[in-house]
Amino acid sequence: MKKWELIKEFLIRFLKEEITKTGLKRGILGLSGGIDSGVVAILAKEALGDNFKAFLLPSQFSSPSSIKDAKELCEKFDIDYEIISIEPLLKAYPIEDKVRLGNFSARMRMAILYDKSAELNALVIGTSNKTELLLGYGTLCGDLASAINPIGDIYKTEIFEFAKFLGVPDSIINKPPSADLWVGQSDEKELGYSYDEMDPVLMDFVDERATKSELLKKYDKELVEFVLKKVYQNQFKRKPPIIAKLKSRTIGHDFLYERDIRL
Amino acid sequence: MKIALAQIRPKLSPDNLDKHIEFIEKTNADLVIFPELSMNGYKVKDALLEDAFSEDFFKKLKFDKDVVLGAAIKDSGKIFNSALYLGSVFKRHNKVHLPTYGVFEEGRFFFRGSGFESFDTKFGKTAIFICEDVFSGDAIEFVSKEKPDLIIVISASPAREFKDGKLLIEEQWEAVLKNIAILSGGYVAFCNRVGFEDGLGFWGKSKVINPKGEIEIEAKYFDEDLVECELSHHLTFTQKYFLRKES
Repeated sequence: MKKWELIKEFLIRFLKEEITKTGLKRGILGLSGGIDSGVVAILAKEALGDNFKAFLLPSQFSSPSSIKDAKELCEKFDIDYEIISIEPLLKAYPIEDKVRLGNFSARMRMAILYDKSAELNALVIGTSNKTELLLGYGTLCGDLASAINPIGDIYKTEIFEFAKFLGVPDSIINKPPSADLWVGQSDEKELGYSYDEMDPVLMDFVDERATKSELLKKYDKELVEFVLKKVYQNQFKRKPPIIAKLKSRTIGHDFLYERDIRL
Repeated sequence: MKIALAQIRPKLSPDNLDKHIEFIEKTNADLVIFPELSMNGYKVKDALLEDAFSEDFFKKLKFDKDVVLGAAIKDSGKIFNSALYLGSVFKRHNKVHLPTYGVFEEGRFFFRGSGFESFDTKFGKTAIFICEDVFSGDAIEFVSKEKPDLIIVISASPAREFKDGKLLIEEQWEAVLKNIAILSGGYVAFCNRVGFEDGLGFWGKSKVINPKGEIEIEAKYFDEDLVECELSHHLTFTQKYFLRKES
């Protein structure tokens, strides 16, 4: 079995088991028309079959190709989907600043997905990759909110390989990565570096435990400093809220049950 | 003589006895082997104080064949990660090497066992190890000196480092298991669990390795499975004859 085939088999079981052991059987996600949610949608469809549904949640600022690409993916993999525009929600609470509006859009999508999860007895499946999670390139309580995430240990550059293996349409694979929160947004322009530049630094630092001085021998100084700063600065996005410890046994400190614990 | 490896997906709960009975009833083997902490699940952590069993619980169980299972055992104010041999003999091995690095936190929650021993069963001289136990020089030394006929290794090994065709951790396991089979001239029965606990997935691929270091039989990746293997006394005798030397 090739590496991506083995990973696919593993992740299908991850989704199926971690969802069904909660007593639920359904999963949903927000399908943006991008590569990450595309990869997760294919895995979720394999894991859950008809118990999986995708929600396309465009705004007036979304690129028209996003909906088209998301629909193409759903048709190719026989995925049930529904389109709900967040335009009325954004109009009800107008924001000028584009970053604030972008974050707000991500949180409106989260609000819809969590409401749909209650309506459908489903868990929300997350679509943040390891690069985004490490750089903190996501919205807290927005796209970072989910119950379960199959791709959080896969770097963005690896997502491209995985997507090819899974048969994600070329239209999705070949377009430049974008959070698609405002017109013309591009991940790599916004971050200032390409994923091909950032991922090797992250892999060396996180997976291989390279020190800063080892990284500086191998990579551009500004790139190394940018990546490390992002990782440290955004640790808060990867943790639940911190709780002030008062008693002998405190949630988040020494009340150490796993989420899967059962009586 | 036939053994069976019951590659199960325990719940993270002390409510796993029914699953054991289901698998014991599925086979006519003389011995059924379950994975590490098969009665509790692996990441018990803080729930260990409530979830650990007493040894008496297992002394009262009656099966129509011999059974090896894994359980957290409370004993005189201590809790051990134990393997129990039930049936024609009653034996308990407490895990000696408690991994406490990376995803593992056993050293924080369990007390360590005092050492390895061999005992007689219908399969001859038998020894039990739990997971990390065999990744140690003292386990290798023990099997090469004692030369058990049957070495039972139960484990809860999480999948990581996926490569083409195999997981890196599986290659490492195979190297160690083949090593102890060859050095002991005995059979190695390795039972690894499957299923997920909070995103940590266990890879399975339980296997029996013969005294020549060959894989005789292998269970599936990632799914529950039951595999059976006939053990050959002749092969054990021959390999031990070849291994004769002053220890």
